[in-house]
Amino acid sequence: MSESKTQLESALTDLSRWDDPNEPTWAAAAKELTRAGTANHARHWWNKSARYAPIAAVILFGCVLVAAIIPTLGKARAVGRGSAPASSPAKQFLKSSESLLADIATAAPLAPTDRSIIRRSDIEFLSPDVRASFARLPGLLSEVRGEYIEQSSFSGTGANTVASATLRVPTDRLGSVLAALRGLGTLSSESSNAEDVTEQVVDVDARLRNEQRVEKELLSLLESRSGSPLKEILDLRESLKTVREQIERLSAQQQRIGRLVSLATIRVSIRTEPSVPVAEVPQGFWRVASDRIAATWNDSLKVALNAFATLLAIVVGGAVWWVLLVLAVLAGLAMRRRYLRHTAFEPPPRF
Amino acid sequence: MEEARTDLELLRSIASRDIAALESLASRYERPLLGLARALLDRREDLARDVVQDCWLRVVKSAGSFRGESAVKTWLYRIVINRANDVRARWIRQDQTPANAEPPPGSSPGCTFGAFDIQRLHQAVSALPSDRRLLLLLCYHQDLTLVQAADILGLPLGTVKSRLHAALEELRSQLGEPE
Repeated sequence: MSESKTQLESALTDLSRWDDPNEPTWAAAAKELTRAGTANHARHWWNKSARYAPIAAVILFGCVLVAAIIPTLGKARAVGRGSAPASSPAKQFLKSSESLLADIATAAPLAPTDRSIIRRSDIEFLSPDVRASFARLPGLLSEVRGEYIEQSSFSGTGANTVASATLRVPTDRLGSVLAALRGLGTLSSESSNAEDVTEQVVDVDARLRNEQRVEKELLSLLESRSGSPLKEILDLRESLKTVREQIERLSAQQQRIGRLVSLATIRVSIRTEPSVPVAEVPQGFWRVASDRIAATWNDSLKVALNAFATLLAIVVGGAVWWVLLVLAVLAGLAMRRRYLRHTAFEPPPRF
Repeated sequence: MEEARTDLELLRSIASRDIAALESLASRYERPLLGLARALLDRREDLARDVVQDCWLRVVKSAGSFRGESAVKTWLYRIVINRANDVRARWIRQDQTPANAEPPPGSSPGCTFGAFDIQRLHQAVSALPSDRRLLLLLCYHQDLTLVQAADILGLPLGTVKSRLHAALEELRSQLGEPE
């Protein structure tokens, strides 16, 4: 048996023995060795660099993500660059470009802050005690700042009680007053709109200036022709009267628009909140247990739905980033494969 | 002079385009690699030469990036085995049987090696699954120890021993030998 085993092993060894003296197999490699010059060095450098490709891809992706998520970084950089002294030619060029952009911005016909906008909001809420909520409305306004209730009404009794009011508040206080109103009851509806009346304001101003110029001209004409016939003077006075009426009308229109722009309008509507039927007090162990189980089941459903919604938001909301991440990883893997193909790494044989 | 240098030193010299170093390294490993490649490729001497030639080309191209994580010898054997496996995989894909196979040494009809008919042994080894064939040929290769074979295969020594035992049993049963 032992003899036989040794013979088998020797026979196996002989299967992979090579005794024939042949021409060398390394001749082609030797030619390649003499031919390979600087190109080989460049390839080696590239191969060494490619080793770090996946890490570089991930770092690049991270940088893009950070730059996108925190745009304030970019703004801060821009501000820093703007305040830096323009010493070098590059900085001077940058500064001149920025000033050119600023000139273009100021040359625009109307800056956003110059616009005249009338803001209106409608808010409707339910309250168990309409009268009490209605009574709290004046407390939300500040007379010192010129805020006032333009109109108010209260009607109905019991469950049909309805109250409404129109509040006028400065535009910059609109948000805070709305927030305070939301605390008065259960919000049932809310809407806001803004009307841009800039063109109207510009038009009224221009017409007013024009009428005032005509008035001045008529006055000077009247003075210079004091010795003219009476009919001419009366005609001039009639024209002056018409112009002054027009001036008064335009002034009134200008003031009305000004008030509408400076004070936002809030229309408040309060209705009685339907009374919630008093829940029956559960009796008995099984009743309590079944109620608890139902409540827990409902809560768990809510949690599951919330979790699903969050997951969906992450997947869908970050779709661009996921695609970029996948591309970065694929690029990294491709570069790594290329690196492995061109380097000395040789994996063990696969069975 | 070249004989005194280690494989790694020779490889570093090859990276510096030293042809003498390549010749020296080839003189050490060319025949064992050719023998193994031919055995893995069903005695196809032409394919074995192609595989080993590819191996030297790979050595020349990648010598500069060899990081010494394994022995040079291990690296060379892995290259040859992987290339031979690629060639065999191509045969299987194209559903071809190896042609122009060289007869095993001393395989004239009726020729025996000890108690074995070499032709029959060759057929039995070829009929084994590829992993067992590779294990047997590698573990009984003239130039390798069991530890080196395990290193080339990337397997623990114990695993190699147990698999070798199983492969030998299978070979014996195919040869109709008593265990």
